[in-house]
Amino acid sequence: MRPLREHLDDSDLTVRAGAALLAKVPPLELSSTQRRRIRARIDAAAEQPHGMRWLKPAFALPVLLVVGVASATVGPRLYRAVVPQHSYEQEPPQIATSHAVAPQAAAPVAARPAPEPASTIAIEDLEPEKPAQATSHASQSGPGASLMMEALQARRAGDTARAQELTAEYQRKYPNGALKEEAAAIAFESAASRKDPSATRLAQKYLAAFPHGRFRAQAEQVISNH
Amino acid sequence: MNAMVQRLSPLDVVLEQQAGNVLTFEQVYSSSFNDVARWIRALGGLTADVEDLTQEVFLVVRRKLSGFDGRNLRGWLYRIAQRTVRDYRRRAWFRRVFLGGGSTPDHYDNAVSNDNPGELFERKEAEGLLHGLLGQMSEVRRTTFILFEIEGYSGEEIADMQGIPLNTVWTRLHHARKEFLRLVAESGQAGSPK
Repeated sequence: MRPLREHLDDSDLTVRAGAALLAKVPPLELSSTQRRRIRARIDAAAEQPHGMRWLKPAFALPVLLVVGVASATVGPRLYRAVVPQHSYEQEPPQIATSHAVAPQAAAPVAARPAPEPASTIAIEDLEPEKPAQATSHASQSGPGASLMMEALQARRAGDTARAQELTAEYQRKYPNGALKEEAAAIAFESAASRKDPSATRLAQKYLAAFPHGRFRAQAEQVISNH
Repeated sequence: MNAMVQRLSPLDVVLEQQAGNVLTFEQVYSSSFNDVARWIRALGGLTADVEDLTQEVFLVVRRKLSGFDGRNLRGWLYRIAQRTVRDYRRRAWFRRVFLGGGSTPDHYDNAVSNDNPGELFERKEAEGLLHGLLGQMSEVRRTTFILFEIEGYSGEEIADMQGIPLNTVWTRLHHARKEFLRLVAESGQAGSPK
C-alpha cells in the first residue's frame, strides 16, 4: 500500500486534496540541540536520589491520606487503652439521665437533707465501678442495674426509705447481681441516715459478705455508732 | 527523510546479544530517540510536550533496560511510550477538568524548520486543518494512520511495534483512510486549490 501523500496525481479530487494536506506535514524530527537537552535532563534526573520521589505530590498525598486516616482510627482507641480512667475522673457524676424516674433527680437542692457526717458514704462511692458506662449503658452492669440507678436517685433526692426499699428489691431479685455490694452498702447507709435500728444488722451483713469491700470503713463506723 | 533516521532493527539486537554485548542505554537512546518522539506525537502527545514525554520514556527505559529480554526492542519501547502518553493524557484531562486549564491548540508542527515564512504559514494552516480532521477519528485508527501516512513507517514496522498482525494494520489503515477522505470531503478541502 502506497502512502496517501504520494497520490498527488490521483484522478479523484478528494484523494488529491487529502494527499496534498498530508504532504505538507513532514515527519517529526527533533533537532540535535533538543536531543542533547533531553539527554542532559535524563542524566540529571537519573542522578536524583531514589528517595526524592516521596516528595512528589503524587506519592506524598496518598501517603498523608493513609497516615491521617490511620491516626484518626487508631489514635482514640490507643488513648482510651492507655488512659481509661481519666475520662471518668474528670466527668461529674451523671445518673441515669434517660431513666424513667429522671424528674426525681432534678429535685431542688434545698429539698436535700442536711450535710451528712463524714462517716456517711458518698453517692459517688455507691455508684458502680464505671459510672459513665453504667449511666449510658445500664445493661452493661447486668440485669437490675436500672433498679440500682433508681435507688441512687432516691438516695440523692433524700428519700432514703425508698432507696432502701429498692436495694432490698434488687437483692431479692438478683442475689448474685453485679451490683450486690453497692446494693448492700446503700441499704445500710440509708438505714443509718434514718437512724433505723436495722442499720447495724445491715452493716454486719455487708461485712460478712464483703470482709474486704470498698465500704468496709463506713460499715464499721455504722456498727460502732449504734 | 525517514531513511536518514538511524533505527535499531530487531536483527541488530539479536546480533548484539549473540556477540555477548548487552544493549546499553546509549545505544537505545541514539538509535530510537526520533522514533520515540514520533510515536509520542502519533499517540496524541502535544508537540509542546514531546520533549518532556520523550524524557519520561527514556527515564523508564534507563530504569528497566536491565530487565529487557532483548526481543522486539521497538515493541518494548512503543509500549512504554504508549503508557507514558496515556498517563500524560490522563493528567492533562485532570488538569483541564479540575484545575480549569484550557487545552492549547497544538498542531503537527516541527520544532525545527528551514522553510521561509510563507511556506511556514502555509504549513501551519495545513497542520491546523489536519489536526482538526484527525481529532474526529478513533484513537486506534488515528495512531495507525499517523504512523503510516505522516511519520512514514511501513505496515510491517507498525505491526512489529504494536504487536498486532500485519493484516490488522492494513485493515485499520483502510478504514482510517476511508474515514479521513470522507472528513476531507466534508470539510470542503476537495474543492479548494492546492
